[in-house]
Amino acid sequence: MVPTARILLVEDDPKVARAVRLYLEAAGYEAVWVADGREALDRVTGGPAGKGAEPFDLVVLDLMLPGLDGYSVCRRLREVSRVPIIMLTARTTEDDRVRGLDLGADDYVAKPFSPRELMARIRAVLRRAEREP
Amino acid sequence: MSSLRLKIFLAMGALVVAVVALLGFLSRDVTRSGLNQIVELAEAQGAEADRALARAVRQDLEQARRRDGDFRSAAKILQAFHQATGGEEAPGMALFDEKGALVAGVGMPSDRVKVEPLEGAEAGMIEARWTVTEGGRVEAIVLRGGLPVRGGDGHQVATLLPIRRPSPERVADRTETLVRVDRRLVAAAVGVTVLALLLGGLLARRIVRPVEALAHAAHSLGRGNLGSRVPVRSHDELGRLGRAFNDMASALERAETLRRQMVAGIAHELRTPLAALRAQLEAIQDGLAAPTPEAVASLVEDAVHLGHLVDDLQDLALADAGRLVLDRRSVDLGDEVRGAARSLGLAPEAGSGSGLELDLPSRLPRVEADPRRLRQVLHNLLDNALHHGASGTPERPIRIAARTVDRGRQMIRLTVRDHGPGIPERDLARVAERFYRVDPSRGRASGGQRGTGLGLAITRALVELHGGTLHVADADGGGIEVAVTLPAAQAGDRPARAPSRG
Repeated sequence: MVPTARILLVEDDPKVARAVRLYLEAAGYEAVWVADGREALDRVTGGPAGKGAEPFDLVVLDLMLPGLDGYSVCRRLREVSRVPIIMLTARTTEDDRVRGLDLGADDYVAKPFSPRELMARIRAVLRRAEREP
Repeated sequence: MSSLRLKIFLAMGALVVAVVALLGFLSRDVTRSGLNQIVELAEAQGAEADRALARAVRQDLEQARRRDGDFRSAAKILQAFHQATGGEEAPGMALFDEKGALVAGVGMPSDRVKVEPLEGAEAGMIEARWTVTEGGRVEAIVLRGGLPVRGGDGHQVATLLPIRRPSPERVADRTETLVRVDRRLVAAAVGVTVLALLLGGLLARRIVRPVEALAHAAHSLGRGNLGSRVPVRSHDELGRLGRAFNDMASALERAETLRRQMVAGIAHELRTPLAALRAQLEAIQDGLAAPTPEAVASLVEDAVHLGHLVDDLQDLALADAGRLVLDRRSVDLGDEVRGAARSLGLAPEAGSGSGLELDLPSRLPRVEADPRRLRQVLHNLLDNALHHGASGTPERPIRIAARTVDRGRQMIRLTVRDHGPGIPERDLARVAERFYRVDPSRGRASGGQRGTGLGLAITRALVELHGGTLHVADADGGGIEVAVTLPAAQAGDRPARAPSRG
């Protein structure tokens, strides 16, 4: 039995977010969806409001975000957290992949992606995170 | 043998050899004839001196004849005179009587001599022929001339002939001089040839090197190395060729970069709606979502959006390739603006409650444009103001103005101003670039109506195709103002049919 994990989905396209959420919930995860990079940062780090950081086991991060782009979110997350990050992006050049992974992403999924593959990758990253606490 | 270097070198060599040979031949000829002239002059002078001496001897001889009655002392006189005037160096003298018999002689080539009077010449001139045996060979030495020797009564009684033998030394001198001249000419010719070939080789290298570099760079370019350039140092034709090549390579590189960006941009633009489509479809397939009418409508919307995107990309690609053919006509801009506004649900009629403020002079000249493309331009501009600029309501109306401007030819300047959040300064210049989004998600914020990110780029391409310009600037009081210029119609333009509404 897969232990229930808390997953933050940062995706500004509501259609994609809705579909991915369906998959996450069907797999028994607790999915939290935010549509903007700043809010995602605030949720993980606690933010200036001081509401307190929320614990997440994994972040699925779209790169094309309003306000604060995914690269910046990834970099700032890495400054304060070791939470596993899977990047979701339509940018697929080698440079983009290298940049994303160098910024601290744990995996990289190119759009258009299969939600099934995304789920498999989420499982893999979670397993790895469990082995290396 | 197909080397340019060798050809230049050989041509240069052949030319130099020809020129040197010609000059050598000419100067040798000139030298020889000059030398001959000098020698002849000297000989003539010598002959004249001999005659002067002979005249002096004649005086002595005539005195002796008058005194003695014959030439018994002639030999003594000639001998004494010969000694007195320099011995061996002095000219010889021969005295012949009226019958041509030798009377006396000194310094003669030999003693065997025959004399004949010279016909047709001055009186008393004779031709004397000596027979000389030298080294077993018999040669004749012939001398002409002679001075008449007269008796007491004034009659010619004998002839005195001065003998100037050709000096072997002088002949040798002349030959030696010519040989010396020849030798110097040959040395000069060799020197000039070597120098010319060296210079030719250098020149060939200067020509061939850049040509080889160019050929190398062109090969490299052909193999796909678009960064290949040639070093340009000179300002001559080769330099210009090199610069032209570099310019061409740069243009190719820019075009290739643009093409790559275009391909990457297209892929990127298509991936985003495809991701939504696929995620939703797989969710339905996996039974996580129900194929409700709403879900299907959402999928159709995505498909339609993809269709728009493909249309836009095609237009842009056609415009880039210069394949977009315009059907230019004379068009009433005001009518078209109102038509575009109506099609987007904006009431173009003036009055309260309109999301549109029109400032179109009634006497505005017609524009020269392809009506279909002009409609596309106006639709994009208004759509942009509506959705990105969040304008088009009575509180935040879109303001459209048109004015005539003169840019060499008469142009119409149309401005579309919105009340949106504006665009950061650094992005203004790039906002009309293809695939450029100020905010990566701008198009999505306005619920469902997603922009393709290509609207302004296509609009600009279309406007530029018409010979106009598109500029984006900050509008006073927030928002942006897009200014488009289009050429005014000229007398010969065909009028367009009335614009179709909707």
